[in-house]
Amino acid sequence: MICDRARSLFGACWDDELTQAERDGLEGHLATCPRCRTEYDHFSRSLELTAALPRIEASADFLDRVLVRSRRATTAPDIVREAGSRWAPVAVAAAVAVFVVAAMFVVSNLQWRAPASSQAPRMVGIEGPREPRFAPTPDAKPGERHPEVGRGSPDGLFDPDKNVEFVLGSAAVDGGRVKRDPEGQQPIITF
Amino acid sequence: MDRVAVDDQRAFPELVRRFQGRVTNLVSRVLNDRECADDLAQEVFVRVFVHRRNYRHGSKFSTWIFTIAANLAKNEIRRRVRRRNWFSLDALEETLKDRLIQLADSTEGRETTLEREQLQDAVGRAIATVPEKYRLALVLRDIEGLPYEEIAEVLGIPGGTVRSRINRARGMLKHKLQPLLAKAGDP
Ligand SMILES: [Zn+2]
Repeated sequence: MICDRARSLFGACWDDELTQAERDGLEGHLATCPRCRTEYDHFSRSLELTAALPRIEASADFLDRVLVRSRRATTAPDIVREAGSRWAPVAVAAAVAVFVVAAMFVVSNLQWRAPASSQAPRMVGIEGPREPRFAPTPDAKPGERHPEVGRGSPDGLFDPDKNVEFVLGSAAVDGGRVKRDPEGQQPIITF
Repeated sequence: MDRVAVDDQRAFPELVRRFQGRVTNLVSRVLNDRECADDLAQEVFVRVFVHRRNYRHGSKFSTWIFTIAANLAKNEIRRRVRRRNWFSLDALEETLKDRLIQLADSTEGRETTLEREQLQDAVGRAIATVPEKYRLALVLRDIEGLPYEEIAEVLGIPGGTVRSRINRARGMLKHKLQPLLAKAGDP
């Protein structure tokens, strides 16, 4: 038996899985090869040390802690639901705030166009007539402002003395309150 | 375990008592960290309890619980590697080498309690420096004494792969403990 073959049998020898023929061959080799004998001594000694490691015991309150944690784990979905509901108003408020800011941004950059249909957004004055004060001239080109635009407000679109409502298809906020337009269906946001 | 699965109130504590030692020892030897291992071993039983109805009747319970333990230990090792809040392997290997050289010098045939503890500590550290996939197989085989077939089930790998991993792990361990073994083998 050559050294490589002998060393490949160390593991099976330790596990007592060698055939009788393999065992005889290995023992014969170890008897005549000091290097492989030393290797096998080190191999078996390292595994003896490993097997002799003391057992590490569980802590004294192991069972109690497992029972507490198990109970907590099985009720966890309720806790998650409660945590979710606690944050729900905050999430809604944040969503509304983001929406309002986004709407203001859109409005401040909006070039006025007459509504193409009753479903399209339209701006209306609350106290005055429902048509905006700064209606575009019929021949206005895209990107071109009405002569009066800019006179009454810093952003050039609205009269600061009047409330402006922004009518949308699906949501309505008025200072945090829901509002419907007088005609009934479309919700209105007031700035 | 069948009684635990059908919510027999006394069965689960009994099951914990019966397996807590083996699970704690397995996780401790894989992580080489007693405190964390105790916590992780508890988590193993919590998972058993939560998923008790997923247990396949007729299969060996030890295989199932060792699978959960091995997976949690594996995740913990990987988490530590990611967070880098653990000894790097190189640093641990250096500490181990120093420890083994000191031990080899001080051991002159008689083994005091302190030296025995130091020796055990050094062997525990040596195991902890074996790469994770080899380490798990080594601990399951050479500390927990599981048969190869069960280790294959626990780790979800073929039997041939288990054998080659264990052979590699044993070779690595021998190499790591070499300074101590060489000294101990001197006449
Ligand atoms: Zn040889």
